[in-house]
Amino acid sequence: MRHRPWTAVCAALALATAGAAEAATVAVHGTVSQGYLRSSEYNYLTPDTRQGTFAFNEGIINFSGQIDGRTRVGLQFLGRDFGPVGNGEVIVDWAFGDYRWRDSLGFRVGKVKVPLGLYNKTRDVDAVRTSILLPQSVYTETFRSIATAIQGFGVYGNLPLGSGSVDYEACAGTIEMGSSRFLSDVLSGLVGAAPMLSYTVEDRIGSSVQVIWNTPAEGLRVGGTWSSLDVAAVGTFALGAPTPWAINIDAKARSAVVLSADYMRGPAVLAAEYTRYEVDVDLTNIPFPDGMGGLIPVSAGRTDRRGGYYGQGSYRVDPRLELGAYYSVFHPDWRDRDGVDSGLGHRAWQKDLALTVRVDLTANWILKLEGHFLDGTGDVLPELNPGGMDARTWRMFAAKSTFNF
Amino acid sequence: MIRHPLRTYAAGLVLAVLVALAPRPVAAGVIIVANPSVEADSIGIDTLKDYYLGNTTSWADGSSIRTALPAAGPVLTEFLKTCVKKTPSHFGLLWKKAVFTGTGTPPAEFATDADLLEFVANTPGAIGFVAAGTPVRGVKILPVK
Repeated sequence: MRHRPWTAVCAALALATAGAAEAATVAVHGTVSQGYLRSSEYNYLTPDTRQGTFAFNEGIINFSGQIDGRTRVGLQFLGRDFGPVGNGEVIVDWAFGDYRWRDSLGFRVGKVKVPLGLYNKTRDVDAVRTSILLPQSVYTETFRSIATAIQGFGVYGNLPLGSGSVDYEACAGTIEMGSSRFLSDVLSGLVGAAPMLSYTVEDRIGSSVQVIWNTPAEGLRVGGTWSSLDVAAVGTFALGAPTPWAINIDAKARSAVVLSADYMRGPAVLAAEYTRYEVDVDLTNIPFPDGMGGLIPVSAGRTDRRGGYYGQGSYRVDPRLELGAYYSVFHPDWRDRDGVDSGLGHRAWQKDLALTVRVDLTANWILKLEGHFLDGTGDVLPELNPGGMDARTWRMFAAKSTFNF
Repeated sequence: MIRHPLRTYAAGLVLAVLVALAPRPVAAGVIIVANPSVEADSIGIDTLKDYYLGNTTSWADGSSIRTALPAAGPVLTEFLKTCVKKTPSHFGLLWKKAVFTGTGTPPAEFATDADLLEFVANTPGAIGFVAAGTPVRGVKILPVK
């Protein structure tokens, strides 16, 4: 992974400042989780899901300190393994200084989490939700590495209204991709069967704005997020040319919109979200036969209009037991949701009914079991399933145990 | 002997005034305590909710609010249900989210009322709650408006 120098500087500054604060005000928290995934048909999310994989774990530790009533600093390290992604490599997940001038206006500078829907900022933290896997219609793993955090700045606050209040948050900066294998898999799929010899992801600009209205109805929140994420990559492919051919790819997740609502009452929580976004992919320097035995560079592009939605509910039966369920629907091409026009068939959708049992064995130790009943393969990568994707309905089992402090 | 109606009304009025002036439990059997440095003489229930959810982090004079609560038990459950409108598990999840996104410091937890009261008494800006009737010393009781 490439380390940005000022990420390290920021992390060091945050640590040093936290250390400079009174020892009693420096808090340390962490979580460690280990999971298991197995699918009845497809290698979904990892290359080994069909045979079963334990390459599904995270480790987090963070340090934070309250300098005074308005200022706090902190940083969090994250190591994760999810199939080919992460491989336990430790990265700075977030590291920022936070100045809360008023409750209505605060500022953050450093590497900040991207507000996107209700759960994006906590997607690495298994302990704070009922389900093991977030609904992939809104929280797709494919773009996880570009939608998690940016290095830049943010503003946030809570504005009292005559009825309820509004939480707002906005951030802008540079996306750091890390070592996302998923992106290279996606790029390989876009180019075709030619193997990718190497690829380099270039950091690009991202921004996000979120507004959540805490309505006068106790426990009911509604809101929306707008995000724009733009990344560029260079992939080098073996395309039969005398030397490997470099193809430039610019991918933009433009104008991603997420509409969100949740309602918490007693032991029950209901949530629903809807998203639409466009993914523009422009390829340049594609080799094309010139008819005389040589190759000439050409350009091509495509736009995917993706979308999805889900509804979920959870119920805390007692302090140790929680039950949850969601129904999530994803369409890789929102214009052709039944797959007829494009001939995609069941690759035009993915509908996922997930049922979860969460057991809080102790205050710090959680065990979850989850069954997924799926219809369609709209979010399954062909690159991970070279044997074909004929089955329309399939199942997946997930288990995860998390310790947190 | 027949009591004069005026005496009955006066006794009722005195009783009403005493009830009005007495520290009012925020919930059945819960009273709010604060460090003597806290300038406020009373507190609103919505304000308490904002403090315990981290929406408000400083007193009017800019000093830090240091919230404290019992680690478990019926007093905690009653306070969270009545004032914060959350179950203990959901309240815990909200603060875990804040901890792992770096956006807040959860309330300090104490195993006993004595430990909580000692923390509130010795920590500027601290606020907490205990069961009504608990002997308190070195702290200020904040009636709930």
